[in-house]
Amino acid sequence: MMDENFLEGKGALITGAASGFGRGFAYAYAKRGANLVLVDINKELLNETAKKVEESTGRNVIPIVCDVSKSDQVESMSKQAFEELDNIFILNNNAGVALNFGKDLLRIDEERFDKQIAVNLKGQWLVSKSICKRMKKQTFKPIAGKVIHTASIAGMVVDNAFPVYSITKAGIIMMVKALAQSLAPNITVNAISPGYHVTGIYDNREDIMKMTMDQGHVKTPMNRYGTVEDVVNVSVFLASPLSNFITGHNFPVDGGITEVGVTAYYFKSKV
Amino acid sequence: MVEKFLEGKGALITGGASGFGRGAAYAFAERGADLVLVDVNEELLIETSKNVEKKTGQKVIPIVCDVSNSDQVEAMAKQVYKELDNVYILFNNAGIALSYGVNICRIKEENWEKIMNTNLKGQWLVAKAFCRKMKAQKFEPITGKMIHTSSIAGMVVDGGVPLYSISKAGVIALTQLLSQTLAPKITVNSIAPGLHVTGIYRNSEEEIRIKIESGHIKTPLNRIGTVEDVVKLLIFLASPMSNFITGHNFPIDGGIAEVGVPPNYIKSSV
Repeated sequence: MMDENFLEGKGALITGAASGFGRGFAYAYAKRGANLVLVDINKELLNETAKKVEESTGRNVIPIVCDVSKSDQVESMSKQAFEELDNIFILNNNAGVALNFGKDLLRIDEERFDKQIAVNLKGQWLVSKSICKRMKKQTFKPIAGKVIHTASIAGMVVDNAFPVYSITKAGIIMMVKALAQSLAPNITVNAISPGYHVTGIYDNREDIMKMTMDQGHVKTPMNRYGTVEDVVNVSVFLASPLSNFITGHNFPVDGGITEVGVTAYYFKSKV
Repeated sequence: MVEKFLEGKGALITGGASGFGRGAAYAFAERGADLVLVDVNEELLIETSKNVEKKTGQKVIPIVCDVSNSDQVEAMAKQVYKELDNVYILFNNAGIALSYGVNICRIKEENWEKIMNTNLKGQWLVAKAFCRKMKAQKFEPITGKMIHTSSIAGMVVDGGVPLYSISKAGVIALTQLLSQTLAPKITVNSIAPGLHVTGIYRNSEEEIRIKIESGHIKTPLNRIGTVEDVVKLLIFLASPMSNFITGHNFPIDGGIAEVGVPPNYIKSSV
């Protein structure tokens, strides 16, 4: 539906771009004409992905290694990004980590708590902060830029297998609303909430993901596992002019789990 | 260039004579769909059908039907399957707003009946008449897609149109229930428009401005909505891009409901 080159002449910056959804976004935006800056902490994989995307799409693809939880690294990354691209029309704030699978919230180490908040929540804030001021001044009409954050269904309904992750993702959904207000009407800001998709969080293995879903008694109305492409499809819509009158919204892409299915739970109850 | 992802597919649009329905008609036909347009306003319906057919070259069949009347809906559904060999998109869109500005404690019973029957029961009747056949269609991976028109008034109550708000909150619940029972074959989602220039505001921006002022509305994206804004979302929901999304209500309102200020008529000095 949106195969036109609507991102021709536009720059897109994607964090967490070496793999998973980020890599999917990279191919999708480049195919639609965008030049890219890909940001990740995993240098080797990042360079490999950047090269592949460049080869397959013929676009400019610049890899920048950066830990998004460190403000000095984010500052220098954003400086370099604006040197490489003359605009950033799409900011895809996607980098995130999940640690401590299955550990009770009250038993989690402080250092792990800090780490997840720093990467998932503060990281997205730092990147928005350093990019959006310039993005807002860009002369594209009618919208100067578009910001897309990766939240999660765990931020909509708590997932006690990943309690800290859930907290960070709920924070992202609220941050998206705050940013949507503060950047309106020049920039639209929306979130995507994936459900269960085969990505690096599950070692790229469907069987590990299935185990997680079984343990949590998850029920998916659409009765299949999610793919990276499912999420990419929504990001393409959000990057396109089709979504220009939508801001501050969180888009679940989970086959219906959160709103009409059964989300993960681990409590035992006979009544 | 428009990609014809609806080639060989049928789309049924209720409230198809004007507003969002008419916008959807052009958009779906341009993407290759043959259409049945349903409306209660015969004259406008026939005019719209002719215009869409002429402009797009697709088959466009008008059927006059009051969606609140089950006999008429049954007859309409029968006729639809004579005209189209499939209904891949069902856009359940017909709706009315009455009793603008009347307090909920003073509204006449007949207006309650009229609004609930058209907005809520009407969508249920139409979904009921089509869902079994839609579910049995052979399209892969999804056999059909339903889209319901709700409203931001169904997300956050609008005291200016209380019955309308209730009916639209009901539409959101109806959408969720349908999405459960029709999964995994059919995706069912709703769209919640904000303030757009359509027949409900007599196609007048001025009327919308009065509404915005009396309801103290603030729109983050700082403009009045158009039919086009809504049609763009409909294209996404009719396309394969949304195949893994069901049961969701999509606000299309420039941010009013979730990050702006929705209508309020509250008097308070504190």
